[in-house]
Amino acid sequence: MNRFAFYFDSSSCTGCKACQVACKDHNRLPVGVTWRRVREVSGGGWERRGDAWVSSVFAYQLSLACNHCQRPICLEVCPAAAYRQRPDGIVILDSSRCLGCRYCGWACPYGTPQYDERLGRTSKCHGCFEQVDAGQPPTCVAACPMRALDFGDHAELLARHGSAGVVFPLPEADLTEPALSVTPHREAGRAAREGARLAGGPEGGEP
Amino acid sequence: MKERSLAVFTVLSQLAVGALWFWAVAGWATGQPVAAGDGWTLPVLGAVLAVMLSGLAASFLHLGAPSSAWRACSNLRSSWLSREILCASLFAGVVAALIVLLRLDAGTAALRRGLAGLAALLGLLLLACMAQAYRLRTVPAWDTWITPASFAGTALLLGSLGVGAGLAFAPADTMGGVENWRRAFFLAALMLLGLQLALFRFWMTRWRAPRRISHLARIRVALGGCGLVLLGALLVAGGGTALPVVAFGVVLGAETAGRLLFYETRTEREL
Repeated sequence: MNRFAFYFDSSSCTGCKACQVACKDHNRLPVGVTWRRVREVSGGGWERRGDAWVSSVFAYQLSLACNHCQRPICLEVCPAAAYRQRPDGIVILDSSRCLGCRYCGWACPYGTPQYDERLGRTSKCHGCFEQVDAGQPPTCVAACPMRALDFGDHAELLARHGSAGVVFPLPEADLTEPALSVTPHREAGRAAREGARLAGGPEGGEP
Repeated sequence: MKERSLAVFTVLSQLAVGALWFWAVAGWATGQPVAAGDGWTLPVLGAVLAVMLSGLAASFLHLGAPSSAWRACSNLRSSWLSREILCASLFAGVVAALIVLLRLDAGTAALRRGLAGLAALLGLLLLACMAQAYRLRTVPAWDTWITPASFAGTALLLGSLGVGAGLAFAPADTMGGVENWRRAFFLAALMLLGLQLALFRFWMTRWRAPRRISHLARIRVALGGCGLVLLGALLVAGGGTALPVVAFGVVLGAETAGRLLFYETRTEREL
């Protein structure tokens, strides 16, 4: 494998969170720390068509862990040099070196580094690298009942599944070049338009 | 408001750097270099060191694992935070060394001038590293020219006002005539405060503050306005020793409120 990457099929994900629970269980993560998290993106509403009101509500799920980016900003900014990147691209955090400054959490556009209040240190998804080295899938990939998660070489995943580029509400890919391939839900475009419309509106009061 | 300790660190370290700069400029302009060992140099340098050390101590409160703080300079190759911590530590160390030399009346004048110049340069590097540490490409609210501009503005504003207020306790013949220097520092502070408030207003028009923290912005503007009035009064009527200190406290509060607001502009991601 030249470049480790995750693949996620948003059109198949039911939001069951089996991946999230499996990761939490396998890595014995405490309350408040979720290396893989499932988020719902929803929108739409009610539209009047003539005398009738029609529902246009939609929802889809995003399952996110660490994207083991090509340009990992966490590795760049960590003052303790607690991050390292393997030749296959997997980014690993040595929590024992962590100062608990949370700077990496500020920098990561995906919210991947998770601060553990109990330990005063940060941790994150390590791609189950030991299992991957043994030829096994990461725990989250193995746990998904819908087979919406996959892993492998980034180029192969892109060739097999294509890539949506940026899927709302993920940030622009050129910030950190995530090793992530996503099949978007059919309503992802509509979600992006609604999100842009909401972002452009007034947010609060005058200073 | 988890970043209160960092707000204190950045404001105090900028105050320390600004105060050193203004004291050095005044010393150069009067032909009495900051390292000359006259009566007020040691108290000023002592205050600069105390403020910087207080800021560094406050930054420890932000760490979840302070016992690992010694690793903070481990990534000088790419981390602006590592570089910032190194510059802050070196700045404090050089100022401390200068204080020791002056106290012991040791070292040549050239050595003292060199250390003073090195401290001023390290202060500039510290501000630059601090600004770069916050210019994360993934945090658009911070990745603008306003970040280094406001950091520099805070350093100059608090530095000028801090030295001016400190000189309220100095004998009249200090620096060849302390009253003129006090007025110069207060005038500089007045102009800088006006610039900071204008910059703040410009920044706020670009960012729509949620209602939950708009009270911080009101506090910042209110204290800044009070500071302008107090500085104007100081320039017109002088002010003994109490009014300059009050003015300094009010402006310090305004800058701290502004810094707390700065941290609030980073949107917590819910991914």
